Amino acid sequence: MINLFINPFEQLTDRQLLSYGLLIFAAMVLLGWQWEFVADGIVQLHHAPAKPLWKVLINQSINLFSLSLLMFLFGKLSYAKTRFIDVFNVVLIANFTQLLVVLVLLNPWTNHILLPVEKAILEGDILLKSVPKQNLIVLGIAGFFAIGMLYYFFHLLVLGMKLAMNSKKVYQVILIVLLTLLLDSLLKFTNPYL
Amino acid sequence: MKFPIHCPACDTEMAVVKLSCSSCHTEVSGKFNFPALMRLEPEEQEFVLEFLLNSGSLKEMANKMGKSYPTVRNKLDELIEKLKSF
Repeated sequence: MINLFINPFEQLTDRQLLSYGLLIFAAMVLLGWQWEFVADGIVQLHHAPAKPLWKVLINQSINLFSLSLLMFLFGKLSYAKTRFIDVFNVVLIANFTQLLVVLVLLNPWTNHILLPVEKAILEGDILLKSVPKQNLIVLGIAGFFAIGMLYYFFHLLVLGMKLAMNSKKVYQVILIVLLTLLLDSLLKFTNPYL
Repeated sequence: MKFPIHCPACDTEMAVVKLSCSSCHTEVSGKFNFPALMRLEPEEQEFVLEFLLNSGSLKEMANKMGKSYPTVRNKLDELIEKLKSF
């Protein structure tokens, strides 16, 4: 069972990967709509004003398709037999980590604890003296969890891409991470979201 | 019983030195190298057999094995490289 989370790409069939991936995508769209957040980058999640469902769907699709296309082009250049559907499945499954972040950190209960921290920072209380101690403990745990999930995201992305493009080269792993971070910055800078 | 391809003592690839007819017991001695397919590991031979039985459809094979398509395709690529190196 644990292997399924460490390397789902070898344990599941294409159809299973696509089905689970689409379920994750659907959950992200519905939660983004209900809990009012936007993934304004590949590894970004921020609160946003309420939006209609179709706008949340398009915003989420921008990340999914831009990363899939970039990884597919990279994969195709490195290994001619790379298929788009395999790369697409990898990106869909890697989003599982974002779903975990959303469920743990952007749920209404955690929001209730973390919003005073955000408010204190906006009001200039950088040392967070006005924030209760228990809120700061939750903030600390949330920080570690977010870093862990970021690592898990790249673990899944790299592992899946290595399989999709039959790669055994270390420099390609570095390029996958760098290209993803570059796309993340580009999306953040151009802000194509509705 | 597992067919021994490598020497159990030094792991060098072995060769057939004697063949015998099960009917008239004629024996032929010499040094015969294994054919390429016989030089693969048993699980690799099994993979090649499965590939043939699935009419060369990696997609069908992946579904039957419960693995993803690229996992099976990469295994085939590895085998092709191995066979080319013989």
